[in-house]
Amino acid sequence: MLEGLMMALQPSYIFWLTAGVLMGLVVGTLPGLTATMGTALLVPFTFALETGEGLAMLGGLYVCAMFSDAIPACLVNTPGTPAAMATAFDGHPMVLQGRGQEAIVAACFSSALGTLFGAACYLLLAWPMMAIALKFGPPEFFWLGVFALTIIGSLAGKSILKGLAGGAIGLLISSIGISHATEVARFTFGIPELRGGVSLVAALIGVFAVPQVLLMVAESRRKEFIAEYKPVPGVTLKTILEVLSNPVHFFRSAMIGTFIGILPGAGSPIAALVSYNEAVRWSKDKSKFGKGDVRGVTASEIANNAAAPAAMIPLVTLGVPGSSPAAVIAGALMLRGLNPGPELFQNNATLVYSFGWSLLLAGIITFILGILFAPLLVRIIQIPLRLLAPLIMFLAVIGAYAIRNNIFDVYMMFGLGVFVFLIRRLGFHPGPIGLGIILGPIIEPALVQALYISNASSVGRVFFTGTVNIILITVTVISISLVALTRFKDRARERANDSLGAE
Amino acid sequence: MQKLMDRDFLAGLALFFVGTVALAKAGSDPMNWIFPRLATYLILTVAAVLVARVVFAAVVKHVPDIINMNSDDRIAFVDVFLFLLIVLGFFFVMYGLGFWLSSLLMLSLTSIHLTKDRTRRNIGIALVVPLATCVVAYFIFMHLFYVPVPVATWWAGVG
Repeated sequence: MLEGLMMALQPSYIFWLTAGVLMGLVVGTLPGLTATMGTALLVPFTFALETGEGLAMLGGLYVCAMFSDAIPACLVNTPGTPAAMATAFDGHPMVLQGRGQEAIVAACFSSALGTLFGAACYLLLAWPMMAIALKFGPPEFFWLGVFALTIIGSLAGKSILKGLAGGAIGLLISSIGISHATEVARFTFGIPELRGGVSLVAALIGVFAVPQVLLMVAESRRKEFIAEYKPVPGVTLKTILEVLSNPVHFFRSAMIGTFIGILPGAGSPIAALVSYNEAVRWSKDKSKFGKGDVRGVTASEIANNAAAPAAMIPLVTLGVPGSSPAAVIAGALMLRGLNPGPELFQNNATLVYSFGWSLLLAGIITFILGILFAPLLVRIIQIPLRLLAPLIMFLAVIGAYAIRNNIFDVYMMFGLGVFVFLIRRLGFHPGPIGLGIILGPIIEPALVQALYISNASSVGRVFFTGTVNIILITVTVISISLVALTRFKDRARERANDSLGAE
Repeated sequence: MQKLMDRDFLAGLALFFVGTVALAKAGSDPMNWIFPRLATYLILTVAAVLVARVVFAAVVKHVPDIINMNSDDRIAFVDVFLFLLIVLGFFFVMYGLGFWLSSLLMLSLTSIHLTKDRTRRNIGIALVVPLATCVVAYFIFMHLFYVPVPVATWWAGVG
């Protein structure tokens, strides 16, 4: 392990790592460019480098993109990648309250902490954690997805019914295209482009960015900027101390992120959503969430960044990538004749550990760059709406197009955006729709596979037995009960206030 | 102020529309359709509850949650509509005029459209900022991430 550290500390390694981190800053900030796309595009460049340097560069990009996606999420309510969706729930309200710099610093520092935790687990606990992750089969993934869906209770706003319907619309959108079971085309309406399904990133840009742009256009006569920004001296240190003052919150979010990160297929978006949900559930004052609570930002960012190094654990221990960027990194290793898995650990332990140390260093470099750039980045909100709205729409169009170089994704993004903009007026929140779109591709294949397994035994046995299933079902029921109880109490309080007002 | 319709009633109708279309297009094979069908049933159930709640509220004479539209909303609606038209036009001409010209047109037109105070300076900004945006976007997407931006087909060479 120490040899790995010495390797990672070589100047050339640090140089390429920093280059990757800088690329990650661009990739995460621009909606439409994902960490997967960034790492895939970077692979050819890494052939000119040593294997360890190339891995460090790819890891740096991945880690930094998981932070920088929070920048547009907070500033313009548009997640840079799907992993930052939960960050926007509280990050954007913070910006609207003139706390933009605090939001960016909190996101940056939590991202660094999350990365450090995830990388430490990669270096120290890879094998024991993998043993737990191997207990996850299709029924467990199904219940994990259902558990993540309970976040609707926190996102739905005033109407839980509309939140549920929004989530169902998102799930329905995610089911467009060829089915997972026997390859039947669903909801394609005779349009061949829909057979490939809806691009997750384009759909999320449509759900979050386009309605936000249209809202800016609608408000452009009433206000000049998204929000006022006044630099507050000492806000960086104050925010860092605030994040550090809540170690329970940090460890909970980091452990959720790390654990979900090692589950192949789940990845950073689910980690961030589950962590946000848990932060709300364990909080004494739940009403502050969604209205600019810094814990909402930190819960999401700690988890999605902890999930990034954790996604490398199944790659180096079993040869199974934990996320899409990890799959690209696996490809990069294979192209160099190295097979990810136990063999890599045995034959190239120094390389495996140097990669872990590089991920850890990437967290530190991301933090330094983030803190340096935060006062500059937050000034985006000082761009007048008349210029900012067209700019975001332009980036949304190019971003949606860039994913598959397909103009149909742009139409889809645009149509979905207009639809969400209109239904927002009816009291629907875009959060549950985005949630459904993200969770659909996790829940449906798990449900179908579990149903196939249950053909050999019984549905009850597959879905309702096993320690992990029972734990997940229990926490899901607790989560739903708590949402119901909180809503009931809130309504009773509102009624009491109304009757007092009437008197 | 123009009163439109009850918010929940309108939401219920919208959900009924989505649910009905989804149900009409859904197949019967359980493995392929169980997931979308479950989502559709949930949408239809919520739609029914929302409509039933509006009817119940009307019976007990509860104050409805009506969507209003005042003159400011109407102006905002026109702004959004025109903005959407320009963006739709951008999609239409993107492959004809190519990346540079179509992007410049879209960005400049929308910026000028949203500029209330159309002084020479503001119009100048609404032309310069789009140009800078296009240059930066072109280099990032085309040269850094190899995204093949649309090339002009109407006027060959204006890419």
